[in-house]
Amino acid sequence: MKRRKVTPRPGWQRTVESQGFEFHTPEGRPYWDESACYTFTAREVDEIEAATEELQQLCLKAGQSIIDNNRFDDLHIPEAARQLIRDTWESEPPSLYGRFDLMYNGAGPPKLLEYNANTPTALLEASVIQWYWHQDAARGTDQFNSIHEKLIAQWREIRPYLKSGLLYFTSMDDAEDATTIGYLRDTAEQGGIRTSPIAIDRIGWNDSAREFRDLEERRIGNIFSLYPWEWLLKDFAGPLVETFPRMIWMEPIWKMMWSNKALLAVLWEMFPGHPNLLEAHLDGPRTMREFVKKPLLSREGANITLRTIAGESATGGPYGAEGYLYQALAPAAAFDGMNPVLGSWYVTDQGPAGIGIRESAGAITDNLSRFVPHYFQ
Amino acid sequence: MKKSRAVELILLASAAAGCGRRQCVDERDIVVEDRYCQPPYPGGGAHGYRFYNGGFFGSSTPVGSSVRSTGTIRGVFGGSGEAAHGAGGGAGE
Repeated sequence: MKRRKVTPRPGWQRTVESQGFEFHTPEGRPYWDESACYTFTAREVDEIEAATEELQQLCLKAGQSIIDNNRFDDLHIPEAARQLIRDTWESEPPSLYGRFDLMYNGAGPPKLLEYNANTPTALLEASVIQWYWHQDAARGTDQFNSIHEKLIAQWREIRPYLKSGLLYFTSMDDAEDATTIGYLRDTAEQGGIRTSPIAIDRIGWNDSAREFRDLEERRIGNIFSLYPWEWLLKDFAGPLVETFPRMIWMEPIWKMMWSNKALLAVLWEMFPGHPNLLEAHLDGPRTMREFVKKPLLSREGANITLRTIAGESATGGPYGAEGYLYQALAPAAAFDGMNPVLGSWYVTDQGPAGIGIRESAGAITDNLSRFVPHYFQ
Repeated sequence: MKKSRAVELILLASAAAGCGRRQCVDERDIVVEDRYCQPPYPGGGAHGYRFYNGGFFGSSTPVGSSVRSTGTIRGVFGGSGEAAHGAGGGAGE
């Protein structure tokens, strides 16, 4: 694994915009960065792919363990969700994707930092934008990227299980989220599913019909939400719970078990010393002298505390009331002073699908990190 | 297989091209001709016409919950996200 400085394509801003990627430079700061790229060997890509499949299998075992041992208190999952999680874990309603965030330096096995299994973004840039970059700027090489085809293939699998009517896609009214939703709609349409977008705050609840409705007063029978389950439940739990199983919610509610950082502690309890895991605990750092303290439900690097022998640094944010995870530091992976994190995509029933890389000058990957393309040969 | 063979987008590029454009919408958030948001039709009021700036869904951002004549309540979701990240923030990670 190496980091290479490369020359950006002339007019790349117009190029990526024409591909549907508008927020390449949000608020004047670069996010899409093609002045550098990461290169891998085929062996390294095989290692990342195998680790991703392995981690998915471990998470399946951990999910079963959480249910069997009633660990919902450890995950701070509200009472209203627990039976639904048990039910949907068994009934397996449609599920699409997730993104493992891995620390990797090419010298040792990939290490799981967290699993964004409920509302992962940075998808279009991983699936499409870096693919077209590869076509333009790295011909003769390969890219670990079949995300697009696997998403469409999975939508085709999902289609027979949907209720009648449209599949709605919802998120907050935000550029990144809306781009992700737009791209997912695109792949769903290509998978033969009719879709419609609706902002999360425009979803209607009709109390007499006991159903959610769109702006045309049509019943919502299927919805893909890029608004996390913990917020859906906090906002409007009672009526929401009532819609099961008449309504398909994607991702399924059992993903609350995987998108929660307590999953990392459960994994370590079950598979201590596993080469793709980092030591992690819920009750404190125990004997770890250097560790990261993460809120169970934080997003975009918020409220993270990094404790090293040299001292402590922390990011701000609104999270933490739900409790914390204490996780060992991953082996260093710095290239030209930048710290890359691999987002390894897993498409349900289709397998490991490809990677996107975000790098930061600091040790914590947050919403100021940059997306940098990759290739391998 | 590591490599994508064909990447074709149907919806996204055209959707992105429409982002950020000011549009006149009616009380049901349906886009209408701009003249309805201009005199003699005042924005808001009984007609409910108003300009909506930006947005990604072709709908306006509500202020709190609202109940329409159909009995449908809107604005039931979104409060937790706004409390965490503020209006206009996202929830993806």
